[in-house]
Amino acid sequence: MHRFLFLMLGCFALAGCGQKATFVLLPDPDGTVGEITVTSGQNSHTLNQAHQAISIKGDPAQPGKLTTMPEPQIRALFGKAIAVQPLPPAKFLLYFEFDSVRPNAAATAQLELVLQAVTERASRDISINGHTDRTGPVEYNDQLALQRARQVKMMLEQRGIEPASISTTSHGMHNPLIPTASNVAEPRNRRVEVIVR
Amino acid sequence: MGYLRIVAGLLLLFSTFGGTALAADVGSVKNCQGQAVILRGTERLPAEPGNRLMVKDTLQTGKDGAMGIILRDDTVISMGPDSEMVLAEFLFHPKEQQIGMLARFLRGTFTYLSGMIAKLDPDSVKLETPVGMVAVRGTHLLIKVDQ
Repeated sequence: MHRFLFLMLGCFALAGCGQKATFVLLPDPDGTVGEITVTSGQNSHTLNQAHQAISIKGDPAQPGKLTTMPEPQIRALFGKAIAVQPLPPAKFLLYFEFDSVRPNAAATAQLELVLQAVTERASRDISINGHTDRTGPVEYNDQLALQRARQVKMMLEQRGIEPASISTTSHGMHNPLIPTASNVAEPRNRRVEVIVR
Repeated sequence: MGYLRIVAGLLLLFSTFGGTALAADVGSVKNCQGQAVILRGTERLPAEPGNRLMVKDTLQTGKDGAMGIILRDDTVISMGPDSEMVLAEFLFHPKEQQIGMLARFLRGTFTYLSGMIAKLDPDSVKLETPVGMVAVRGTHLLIKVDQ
């Protein structure tokens, strides 16, 4: 009797009694399988195989059991959540000539891919981040990177993207893709990153 | 006494402003269907694509509802019908090395696809349910919470 009472109190304290949680590991979009560790009270379980699953009840005295959830069951339980899972954000890089605010020739093709990603996602959230290489003064590069970002923004607007969907930032010379010593003219650092969410 | 009250008032003011500045725009609503709402303080906002999200927002779907969101670090979360979750904590300032998130999944069905925070510092990602919590190593998972 006392033991029962004690268990009851334990349940209330944890607010988990009668509750159950199920976890299923899926492959990442690139096909690799990550790892999760589910911890409940004293028990902890590691899942590292695709579709591996574990259910845990509110009572911490009961450890869960690892299973594999078949595809049809995954669809039955999670189909609606999976159907509205947004596509992961898409990222694009446009490159610039030395000290120029005009992107190079390859940028036109990249812009087409950006437009495709925007349409696919019905995106209203596009970030444009401007960068420079590490030649020249900090303040000058802050401005140059901003001008680059604004130029790309304008090019997207000309292609029909709503201005309100786009935000621009300048990283100046502070965030090089390829780390270099200062005053190195590294073409791969003269770029604008476009993120379509 | 009056002096103390002023100090307390000022502290409250600063903490409110500080909180707002940190909480602003941690992500946005991407997809929604049926009944889907954002609970923010005492406000109850119908969710629509493009809505900005804030720290401490509670997201809720009804019987026919579903919603998908993307956070600032590219974490993707979606929820099925009759579901509820809280964006309890979210920090993403990689340059200052201030990153971390805590999401509480209270009931319903969810998908989670990890973002930059999980890549940069997996230990700073916490996914909680009423009966157990998950540590992730950069990944994609499903969570179902039954009451």
